[in-house]
Amino acid sequence: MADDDRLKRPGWVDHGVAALNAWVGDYLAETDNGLHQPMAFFQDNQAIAPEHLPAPPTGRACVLVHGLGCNEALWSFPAVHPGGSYGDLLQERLGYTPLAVRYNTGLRVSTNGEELAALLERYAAHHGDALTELLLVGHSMGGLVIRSACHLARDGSWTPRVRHIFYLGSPHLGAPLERATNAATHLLGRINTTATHVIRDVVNTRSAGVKDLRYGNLVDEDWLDHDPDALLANTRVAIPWLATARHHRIVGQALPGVGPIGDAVVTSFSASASASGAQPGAPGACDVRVLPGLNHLALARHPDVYAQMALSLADG
Amino acid sequence: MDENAKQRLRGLHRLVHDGVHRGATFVEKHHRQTVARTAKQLAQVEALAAPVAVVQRVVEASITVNYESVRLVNRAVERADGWALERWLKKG
Repeated sequence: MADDDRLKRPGWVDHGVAALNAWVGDYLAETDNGLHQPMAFFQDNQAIAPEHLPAPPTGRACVLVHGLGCNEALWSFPAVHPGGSYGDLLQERLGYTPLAVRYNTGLRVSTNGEELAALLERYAAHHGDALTELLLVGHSMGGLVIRSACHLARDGSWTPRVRHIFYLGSPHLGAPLERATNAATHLLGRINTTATHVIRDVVNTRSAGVKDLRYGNLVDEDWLDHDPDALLANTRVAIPWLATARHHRIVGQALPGVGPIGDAVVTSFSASASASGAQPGAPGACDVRVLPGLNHLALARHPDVYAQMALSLADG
Repeated sequence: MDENAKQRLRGLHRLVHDGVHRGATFVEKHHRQTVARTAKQLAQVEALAAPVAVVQRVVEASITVNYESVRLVNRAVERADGWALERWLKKG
């Protein structure tokens, strides 16, 4: 690979920064540390202001929002699958101009939602009528950030242009791994030894963004005035889904035929947002697609997922 | 080296020293808790209560001095290597 090509892709330093942001990103932002990754559109490993992006030639753009501890490299298909990425395929086959977002995944989902809403507002305002449709694609935490942004910008100029949103393995009802971590730290705290308390305190340094995944927090009210380390306290408030868009939830099934474990990170129940009666306007089961054989990571980079997205878009 | 890389290097420099500072404070807290727990148990023996209280005060003072010196040295080193880093970044 030529040096120029290599520089255009996120390298090991970028991956390290993304992982560090996932773990202590809230602290990095709070202390204005240079390793904090502010939210921005990224192309060829460079941040680009929305005003510097050309208008989409077809009027259609798709925004890709990655998940915890990742960056836009997440979307690249592994070598065994041709096609590049969902962004490349959506552009080549359906005329959507891809826009990849990179952000600090250690911040609160609601903070990132607010930043995404502001970023899209700037993009939509700059291009005006040249932008007719926005397609939003979020993997894992990215889906929660999208839902948060849509809610916070419900009166924004860009939300009416969103007709389809794809949530790829997003923990709408929370992630069991984070709940297990929360319970384990409480158990450690109850054992009165220095070693267990040290382990508990170290594990509890994980970022607010990670803790938001416990129950899929979306807005400030979900966590304001609540102890982030309280034992399995679901303080989430119900917020409506964006009424003007179809919400396609793509659910991985790591072990084909074994539904409940989902994609091995997020359960099918959570990824499909099923039984989310507490969330007004929750979309029905008709927009849930279960893809057997795909684990959590594969949902971000697999031709079968793209095929499902293309089908859903063709369906209107 | 572009501005983004420089900013990250400065960030890493700060994170390392923040880590030492917060790490020292974290270990100090647990060190104090361990001392307090041990002292509480020993003080249950009536004959030991008075000497244990004295020893506890001495140990706590030494903990304060030790961890405060770690933080002081860390701050001094941060200034020194921060200065060196800035000089290097200006050259580069």
